[in-house]
Amino acid sequence: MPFEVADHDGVLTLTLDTPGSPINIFNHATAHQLIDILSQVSAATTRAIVFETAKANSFINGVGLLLAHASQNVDDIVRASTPPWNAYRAVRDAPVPTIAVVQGSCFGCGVEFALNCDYRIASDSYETQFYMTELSDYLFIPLFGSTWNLPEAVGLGAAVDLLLWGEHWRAPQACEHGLIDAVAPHECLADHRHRFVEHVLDATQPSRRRGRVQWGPDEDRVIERTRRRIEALPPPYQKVYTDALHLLAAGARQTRTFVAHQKDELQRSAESALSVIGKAAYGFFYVRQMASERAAGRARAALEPTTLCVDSDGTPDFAKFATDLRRRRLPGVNRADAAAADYRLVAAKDSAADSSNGHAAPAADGRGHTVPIRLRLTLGPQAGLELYVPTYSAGGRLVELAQRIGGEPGLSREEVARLTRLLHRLDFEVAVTTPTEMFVSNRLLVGFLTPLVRFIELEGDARVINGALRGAGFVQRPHDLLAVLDRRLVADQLAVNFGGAAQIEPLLEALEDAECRDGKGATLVVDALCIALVDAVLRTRTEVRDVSIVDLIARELLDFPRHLSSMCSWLKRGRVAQAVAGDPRVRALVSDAAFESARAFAAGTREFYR
Amino acid sequence: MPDRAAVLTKVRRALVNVLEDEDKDIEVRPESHLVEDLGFDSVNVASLTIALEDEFDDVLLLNDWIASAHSPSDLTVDSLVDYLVGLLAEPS
Repeated sequence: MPFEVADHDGVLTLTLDTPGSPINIFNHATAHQLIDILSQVSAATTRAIVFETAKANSFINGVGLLLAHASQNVDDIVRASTPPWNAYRAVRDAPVPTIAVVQGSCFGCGVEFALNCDYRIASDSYETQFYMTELSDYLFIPLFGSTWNLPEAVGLGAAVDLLLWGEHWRAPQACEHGLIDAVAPHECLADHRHRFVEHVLDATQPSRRRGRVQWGPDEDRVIERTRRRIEALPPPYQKVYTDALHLLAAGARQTRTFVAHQKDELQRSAESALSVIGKAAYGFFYVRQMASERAAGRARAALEPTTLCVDSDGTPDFAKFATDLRRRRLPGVNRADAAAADYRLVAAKDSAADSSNGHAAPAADGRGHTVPIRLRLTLGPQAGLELYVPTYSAGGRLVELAQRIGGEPGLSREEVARLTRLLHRLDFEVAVTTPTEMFVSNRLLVGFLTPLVRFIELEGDARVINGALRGAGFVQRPHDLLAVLDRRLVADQLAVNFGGAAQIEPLLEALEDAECRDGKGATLVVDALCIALVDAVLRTRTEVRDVSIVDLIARELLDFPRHLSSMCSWLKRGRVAQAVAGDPRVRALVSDAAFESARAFAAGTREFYR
Repeated sequence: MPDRAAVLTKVRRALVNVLEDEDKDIEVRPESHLVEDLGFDSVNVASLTIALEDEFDDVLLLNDWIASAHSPSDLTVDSLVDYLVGLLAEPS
C-alpha cells in the first residue's frame, strides 16, 4: 500500500512510499487508500494527521501525466482526476489539523497537496524544493486548486512567479513567501516535527494562510507586468498563460465560491491538457526520463552512501562551483579528504598537455576517482572523462558527462551510473556521451548558432532572427545564451564554418544586441536551423547511446521549444525535406556538408525516433 | 509485416522486466490494461520504452500511442502490440 499508517497517542502519521518508484506519485491507488483512511478519522480518537515521505528525495512529484496524456475529452480528464481530487478534498475537510512534513522534491500536485493541509513544514536539505511543473514543463494548467490556494498562501505576485514563471523555491525561500510555516534543519527534522505538532495540538501554532488577497495597486501592477511578459512569449503559449493568470487573479479576489472556481480551473486545465501543444509538451517527459534512465540505470537503484571531495583550486568559476556543491548537503553524501573520497571533483586543465592529472582514473590507493570538471566553453574533453557544465554561471543545470572515445580509461558503466545518480541528487540534468572531437553540447551549439550568424552576415537584420525563434517557440533568445558563454571561444568554435574567428565577433555582437522583429526571412532562418541541427544530431550518432540524450541537451542548453515535444521528434524527414527544398538561399546559411547530410537524411527511410 | 506473435512475446518480456524491477508479480495478458491492471504511470512508461528499445534494438517513442488512445483504459497490451506492429512495418 502506498501509505504506511501509524497512530501515536492520537497523532496519525501517514508515510507515503509509492511502491517500486524512485519518487512518490499520487496515483489512483494512493488516492483510494487515503480516502479510505480519512473516512474513518474521527476527532474523538484522532488529534492530528501528519503526512510524511519515506523517500528522502521526494515528497510528491506527480499525479497522473499518463492519464492526462491518454485523454481525449474533458470527461476523461474529469474521470481521471476525480480520485486524487476527492482525496485532496478529504484532506482539506479533515476534522482534525493536517500537517505536511515536506522533504525532497515537492512538485506540481505535491505543492497542491501540501496546500490542502492546514500546516506545512519542510526540511532545509538541498533536495527539498517546491516547483510547479505544469505550465513550465508541460504547458497545461494545474487542476487541484492551486490557482485558489497559492494566492491565499503567498499573495498574487509570488503565486505568478511560482506558477507561471517556474521559480524553484527551496525551504527557506518557501517559508519567506509564506508557502510553508516552518523550516527545519534536515538533521533534526524529526525533533522539529514533533515540537511543531505539539504546538498545533495545544493551539499555539498560528496559521500563516493570508486568506483573500486585499486587492490594490500592487496587484494591478502584477497583472500589468505579467500581461506584458506573456505578450513576449511565443504566440502558441500565450493563451494558456493568459488563462492561468486569469485563474490566479480570480483566486486572489475570491469573488466566487471555491467550488465554482475549481470548476472553472478544471475546465481550463482540461482544455490546455487536451490542446495540441499540451499533448506535444507531455512527450518530453518520457524523453527526459529515458535519457535519465540510460545514464543512471533503472532509477530505482538508491544512491549508495558516497563520499565526495571538491577541490577549491582553479578558476574563480570553479571555486564558486566547489562552494555551491559543498552547500548542497545531501543525506548519504559526505565530505571526505581527497585521499579517502569516492569522487574527487577537480577543475579541468585547459590544455591537452595538462591533462595527465585530469582523467577519471582511480586514485593511487584504488579507492576513489578523480573527475575533472569544465565549467566554461571549451572545445572538447581532454581527459578520459570530464564533466562539462556549459552554462553553470547562469544557473544552468546541464552536465555533459563525457567519456572521450579513445581517451584515457574512464569509469565503468556502473561507476558512470553511480556518478550520474549522485549528480541527479545534486540537482543536475546529466547527459552521458562519448564524444570524438567536441562535446556534444558544443556540437549542438555550433549547429544552432551557425545559421543565425550566417544570416546576419548575409541578410543583415539580426532582429528577424529573434522574431523567427520566437515564432518557432523559443523563449530564450540567443542573447541569453551568448551572455553566459565566452564569446571568443564561441567564435573559435564557429570559425570552421566561416573565414575566421575575427570575422565572427561583430556578427555575434549584432546577434547579442538584436531586438525582436517579425519579418521576411523568418521561414528561411527556421529552415536553416532545421538543416544545421539535423546535421549536428547525425554527427552525434556514435557519441550517444540514444537520441533522447541529444534531446535533453537541446532542451537544457538551447531551450528547445516545449510545444514541439523534442528536437529529434521535430526533425522528421518530411520537415527536413521541406527545409532542403525550400528557399534556395538556405544553402548559403549552412555548410555544404550540413546541407548534403540533411538532404540524405530526408531522402532516407529512418527517423530519429520510430 | 512483423510477426504479431513475436512482437507480443517481446512486449510481454519488456513489461515483465519493468514490473519485476519494481517487485511487482503481476500476470501480463494481452487484454491487460497498463494503468488499471499493471499499475503503470508516466515514470515507468519511460522504463517500458527503454525495455522495448532493448528488445527491438530500435529507438522508439510511445508518445503517439498514448496520445492517440481514446481514453486511458485503451492502453492495453494488445493495443501496444498493434501499435508496434504498425510502427515496425514501416521501412527502416
